[in-house]
Amino acid sequence: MTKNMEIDYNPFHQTWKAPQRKTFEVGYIRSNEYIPMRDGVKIAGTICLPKGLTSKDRLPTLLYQTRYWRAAKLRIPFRWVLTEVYTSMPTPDLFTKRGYAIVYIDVRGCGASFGSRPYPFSEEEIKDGADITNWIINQPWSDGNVVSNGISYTGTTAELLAVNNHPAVKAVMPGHGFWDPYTDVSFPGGCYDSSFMQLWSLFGKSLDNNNSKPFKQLSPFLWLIRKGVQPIDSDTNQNQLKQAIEAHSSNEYVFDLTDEGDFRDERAPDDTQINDVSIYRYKEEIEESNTPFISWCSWLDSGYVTAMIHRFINIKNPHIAIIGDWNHGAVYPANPLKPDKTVVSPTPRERITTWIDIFESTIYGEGFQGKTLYYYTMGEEKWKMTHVWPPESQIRQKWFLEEEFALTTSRPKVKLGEDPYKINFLASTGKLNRWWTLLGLPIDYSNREKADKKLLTYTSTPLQEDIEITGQPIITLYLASTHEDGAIYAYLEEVDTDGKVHYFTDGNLRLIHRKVSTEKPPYKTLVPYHSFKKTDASPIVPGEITEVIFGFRPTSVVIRKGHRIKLAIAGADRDTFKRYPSEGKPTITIARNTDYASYIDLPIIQKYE
Amino acid sequence: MAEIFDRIGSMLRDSIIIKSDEKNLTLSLIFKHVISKDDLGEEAEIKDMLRIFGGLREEISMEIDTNMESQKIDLKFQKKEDMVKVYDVLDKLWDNTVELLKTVFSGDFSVIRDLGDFND
Repeated sequence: MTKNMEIDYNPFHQTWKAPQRKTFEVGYIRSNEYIPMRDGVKIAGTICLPKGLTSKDRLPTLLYQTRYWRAAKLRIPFRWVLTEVYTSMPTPDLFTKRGYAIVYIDVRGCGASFGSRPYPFSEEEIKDGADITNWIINQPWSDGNVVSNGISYTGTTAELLAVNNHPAVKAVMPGHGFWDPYTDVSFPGGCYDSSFMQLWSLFGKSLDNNNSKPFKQLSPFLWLIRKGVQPIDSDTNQNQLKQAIEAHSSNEYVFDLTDEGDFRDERAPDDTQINDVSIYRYKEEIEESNTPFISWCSWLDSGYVTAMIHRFINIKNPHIAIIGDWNHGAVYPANPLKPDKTVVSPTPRERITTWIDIFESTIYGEGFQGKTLYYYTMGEEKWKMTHVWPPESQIRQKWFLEEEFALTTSRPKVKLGEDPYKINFLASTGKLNRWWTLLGLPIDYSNREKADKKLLTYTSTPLQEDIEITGQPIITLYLASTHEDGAIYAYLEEVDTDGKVHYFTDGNLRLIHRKVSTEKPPYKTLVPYHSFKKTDASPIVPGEITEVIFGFRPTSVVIRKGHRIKLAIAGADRDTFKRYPSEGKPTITIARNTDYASYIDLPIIQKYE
Repeated sequence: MAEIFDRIGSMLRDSIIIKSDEKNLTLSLIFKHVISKDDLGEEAEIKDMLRIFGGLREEISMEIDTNMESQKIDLKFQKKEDMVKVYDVLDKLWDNTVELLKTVFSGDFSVIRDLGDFND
């Protein structure tokens, strides 16, 4: 195929067919009111309607349910020129112009809504989605159609709207959301992401108390703009807001529920466990709804990118999935091979325009059938498309750890090869990594040359040709440790022809969770299954070689001819994860010999001439 | 995003006139559009705005009067030099606000470290 005939698989360039509908002038009218739930709890909503709406017009509605203040009383001078939904996402303009109503909601226990929350995404919170949908379709301006989208928390509330199987819900668009909250966010690889969990809980607590002070550390941009949550319009003396905030005093926060934990099957005092807030527990209900899904995320977003793959391969609903090269929420670009790229692509406007086109097509047009995954290959800087995952042309290729810290496709020939590594607990991927981006931060892995000096690394010779790695690498290490507990963090990188190191993806595992379970996983997964349950955990026997095998987060990258593949191994990531063991200074010894040939198994895309 | 912040700056410049009355030692922010009592702002908010967005570091004695009917905020001073200092801040306020937003949004949080807190 010549270059001129190359197909453009950029999902933001595709055409989504739908009948032309009435559009409106720029601008919107808004109101803030309480919507009563089935149990009497009052939920705060901000309703934005197109300017110029007549009594004859009927509109579809975008429903957006958040715990981050549906609308904010802005500080001066901002509220002199901006509305209370200026920092809401998406901002109303593009949607109302295209003939949508938008309803922004404070979920129960948050913002100006009453009620309390035992944990995020509770069953009551999910059922509220159905009550709110009923309220919407009974409004005089509603045409009976509801769609929902969001990013992160709001991506998950969008996704969980499908659980109610409400006939009015025509599509959901979860952006950057989890699938399995244990492995995707709170305990990746069984290691507790104490930084995020603590900060996120503090953030939530502050929001629920209408206190913007902590934002200065956590979200300085929002601290500058937002003063507090917007009360409803009739609450001029803010008495109702004060009562709602009092009701939040019995909220529970995830850090308090998990920071002492280790295992997936541990129970909170109210007998709930982390799996209760997973998406996969609702697979049956979601599939029964057959609601079309449009999910999107990025390669460097925490464990949420793994969630994307799990959602794509496990849920039968019609599904468009998009994985790009940006940070959590697509505010900043995040492509290790394009550090000079300062503007995210697509722009938010381009992205939202595509979302509206897809919604239009789903509600009024042809919609879409089956499953399609659009993904961006870094290094090649190209969008691709597949209907299956992994892509059909994927093969697996083993790269063995060798003497002199080499990485090669040949099995070791030495009988006694091994490399000791005293765990350096100062090792860190910093505070702009794939986990900290969950707080909306940019991503920066540019200091890998320096960071790798604290690690045990293995590097290949220069590649003879380009190779594309698309999918999830799997590492198998034969190691012994001096201690009963520990963790392995493994980074897949490249060294370019200038000696610059670029990070692509990683995987990690707490060593007590190393058992590869033979029980059926709760959902289909493409890497060895670790249950992370208490009964499957066991301490390392010091001095004894044990097999440690785990999957990396998925990626798609081309490593160019002349560049070298690099594997870096750490025992800690100081600024993100809890320390394992909590005390002591373990030394691990990684075997790389004929009997114990440690290797990384790379998912390579075969090129056909 | 920079364009969005620039637009905020333009909106502020287009919506608010800053006038000085040397005889009465008064600076006024006059709104061209209708603004509610709640949106006008309280005294503490106005002082925070001058300090955090305007860079006014010193404590300056001023009487702040928000007038719903005339849709303006008056800042009344005892001394001319105080009025001049605050006028300089107001003159650059929108540009400084936009610059601060851009800097923080780019990930440089060092600029807010010494700003103190809002008096919420």
